[in-house]
Parts: sequence; C-alpha cells; structure tokens
Amino acid sequence: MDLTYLSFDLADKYRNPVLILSDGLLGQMMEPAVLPEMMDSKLPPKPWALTGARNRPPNVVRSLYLDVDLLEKLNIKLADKFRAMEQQEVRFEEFDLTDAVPPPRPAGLSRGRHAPAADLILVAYGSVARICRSAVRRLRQAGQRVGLFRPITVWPFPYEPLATAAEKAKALLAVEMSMGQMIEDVKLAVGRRRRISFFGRVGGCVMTVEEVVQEARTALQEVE
Amino acid sequence: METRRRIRRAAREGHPKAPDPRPPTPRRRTAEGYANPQDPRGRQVFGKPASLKDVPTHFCSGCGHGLVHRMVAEVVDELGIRERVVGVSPVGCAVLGYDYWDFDVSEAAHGRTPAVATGMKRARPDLIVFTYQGDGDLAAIGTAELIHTANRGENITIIFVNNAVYGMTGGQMAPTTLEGQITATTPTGRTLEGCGAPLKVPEMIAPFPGTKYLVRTALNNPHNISIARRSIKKAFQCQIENVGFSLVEILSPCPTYWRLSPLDALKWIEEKMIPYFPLGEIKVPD
Repeated sequence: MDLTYLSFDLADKYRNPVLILSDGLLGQMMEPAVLPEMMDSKLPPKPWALTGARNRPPNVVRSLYLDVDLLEKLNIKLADKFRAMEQQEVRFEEFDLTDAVPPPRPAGLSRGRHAPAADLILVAYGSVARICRSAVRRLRQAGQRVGLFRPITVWPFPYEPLATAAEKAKALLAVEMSMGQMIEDVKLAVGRRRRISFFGRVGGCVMTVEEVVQEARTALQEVE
Repeated sequence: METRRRIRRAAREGHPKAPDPRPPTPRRRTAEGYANPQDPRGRQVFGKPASLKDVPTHFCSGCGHGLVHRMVAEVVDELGIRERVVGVSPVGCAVLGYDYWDFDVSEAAHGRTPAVATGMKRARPDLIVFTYQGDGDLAAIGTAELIHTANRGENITIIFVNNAVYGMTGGQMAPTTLEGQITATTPTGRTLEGCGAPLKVPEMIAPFPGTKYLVRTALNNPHNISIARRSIKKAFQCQIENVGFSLVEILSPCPTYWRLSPLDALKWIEEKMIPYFPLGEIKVPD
C-alpha cells in the first residue's frame, strides 16, 4: 500500500508511468487491508500543464517529432531521465543475508537478520517474497545458511546491490510466479560466477513455503 | 460633386458611416499581410487571427484543414477565449495543429482524443476544451471514445473533419468512404457488402440525450464555409454556456487521395458527398 502511494508520487515527479506489478493475491485483495489516511505529497510544479496560454507562450504536450534532430534531443532527454531514475529510485530489501557482527541486543532476543552469510540467496519480489521469507526463517531454524534478496523495484533493477550480496553466496534461486522473467535480471547482475536456478508456479497457483524450502534444499545440495 | 463634398464633410465631422476620405493606399505586401499598420495611411481590413501562428503550412494544395484551423482560430479570437482554450489534436494529418494554433494543445493516442478532452474538462471546468479529429481518428479507432463521451454528455466541443479517406497513411478506406469510392484499399471501389455503409456520425449520436448541438457543414463553396464558421462558433458558445456536448462535422476536400484537382475536389464534395451526408443542423439545443 505504501508502494502504491509512492508509485503515484514517482509517476508525477518523473512524468513517467509507474507499473505496480500486481498478482492475484494483491489484485483480489485476499487479505484484509486498512487503507491509510490520504497523504499530502510534495509534488513538483507543473509549468508544462495545459492551463490556458495566459501570460506565457502556449504549452504543447506532444511526443511526435518529425524533425530527426528534435526527436534525437527528446530521446536523449528521456535517456537522461531514465538514468536519473536508475540512480535515485532503486529499492530493495535484504533478509538474513549478512554475517556482519550483530549490534548488541537486549538478552533474550534472537539474532534476527544478522545471521551467518548465506550460501544460498533466494531472489523474489511481491507476494512470493513473503513466502520466501517464511521459507528462509524455517531453513535458518534448521541451520541452513539461506537468505533472501527482495527487489522492490524490478525496474530500475538493483543490479549492483544484488551483485554485492551474491559475492559471498554460492548459489542463487529465483522464485517467481511466472515461467521465469526476473531470472534474466538476476543473471545480468551475477553473471556466470554463481549457480542460478529457478522455481516458478503459474496459472494462478501459489507456491507453498514447503515447496520453496524443498527447492532451496535441492539448490544447496547442488553446490555443496 | 455636391455628394462628394457632403461625404467629405461627414468624414471630417466623424460620422460613423462615412467612408475614409484619404486617398487609397497602394496595397503593399508586408510581413503582416497586404496592409501595413505602420503606414499612417494604411488601414488593415484583413489579417491573420491572433490565435494563428505565422508559419508556412504543411498541408497539401487544396486541403481543407488549413481553412478549418483558421476558422477555429478566428472563432477563438472572436469569443476572447485564447487564454483558456485547450485543443486536443488527433493522430492523422491534423496532429500538427499545434504548429499553427497559438494556444495550449495536447496530443492524444489515436482515437482517444475525446477521452483526453474529458479528463481535461473535468479537471478544469473553466477551460474551453475542444478536440479536432479526422474521420479515421473519430469514426474508426476512436468510435468507442466518441460514443461514450457523447452519451455522457461531456461539455466539450468536437471539430470533426470528414474527408472520406485516411490521409496521412496514404489514402486508405475510412468508415466514411463513399460507396464505390476508390481508395488504396478499395481499388475497385467500396462495396456495402463487406465494408458496410459509410458512417454518419452526427446522426449516430443524435439520439443520445447527452448530445446538444450536432451539425454537418462543408467547405465546397464560400457560402458553406461561412456556415461552417458560424457552426464552429455556435458549438464553442454551447460549451461556454454549459449547454453540453457539441460536434461540428465538416466535409473537407482531400485532392491528393481523391486523385482530383483542388477545384474538382470541391465539385466532388457537392456532387458525391453532400447527397449522402446531408448538410444542416441535426440537433440543436432546446
């Protein structure tokens, strides 16, 4: 829900469509949700808007440029915008990936996210990421060194953060509700240095935590 | 002699109907046209509307779009709405309307023109929003948008330029192409079987309670051009007075893809188009 708010604000900021990659779970609202209060966003001024040409030259909203020089200028301007988005709007979340020394915690609390470095990184976004998080918890409880990397934006894709995260891992497992789409980006980020496998369910079938645990164990066995 | 003296006296005394007593200025071509406002002897009787930019046209010889662009600009000037008018241009020959009009204009995806106009008018009801569409944009790919915009009775104005052919893409058959008319995609002429009858747009949406002013005009002679201009003004007034949805269909020549001379194209409108697309007001506000 927070991301939905964010997506509208980003679309406004960049004058660029933002696609929310929904799935059946989100689209049919299969869980109760409490909608937050309407928020006031700080949005940029819109000098380009068609408000009537009063005390200014006419505004034209267009994408058609028959003059190749003008079109090239537009293409370069758009490319600059895409680059700015790649620099500023990459979002991701890591879960149980690091082996950093955990900060001192009150006694009685678990080690939480600061587990030994993951040998296997699950890569998943959206509803699947939540299923994978449960699978990671279960595998960690069983002593398996597994973590989760969750791209929040799949474009711009967090290539650098995933490459960094993968440095200490032996293998990656892309889990998707598709026949394999994001796995291409995972391969672009990691290259051939790590073994990358895929697990997906399609047609509206949702993978269970047990299935992901099983796939993760298989992937771990292949690299051990 | 006596009459002339009387006229001169009337002019001196500032009689409103007295003719200009100054000797006529030779017409000289300037950047502004034939009359030079800088010349103290000159008197401008005709000029370019303020809402029209001073640029060369890209339209073919004998095309009707230039005329309709100008009429829209004249009406916008006359109604004093240049600073609150927003146009939505179609996909087609007339997409470059913004190269000619000196007011705010947006492009729209092909045929989605009335939908874009609906959004603008609803967001800013103080604006005067019109779409300018050809028969391909309005009567083919944009039929869904047209019908629902009309049926919802959106308070917008549609200028519908019907030249019975797809101009920009090379003269293919449009829904308004006449029976027997030869186009790039009907080399032996349009047949009713398989292609259906040419679509009469204002008649089609006339039964909707949401539509308020529907009229068909033509550009084939000065008389009809002047009616077209009056109709455009009436349609804009309809919107300004919050009466509701208005559409002006204008039968317009396309000599290039009718394979006719500009003059013969005007005859073709009269002889072929008008009998099928009868001129006149199809629906007027109560």
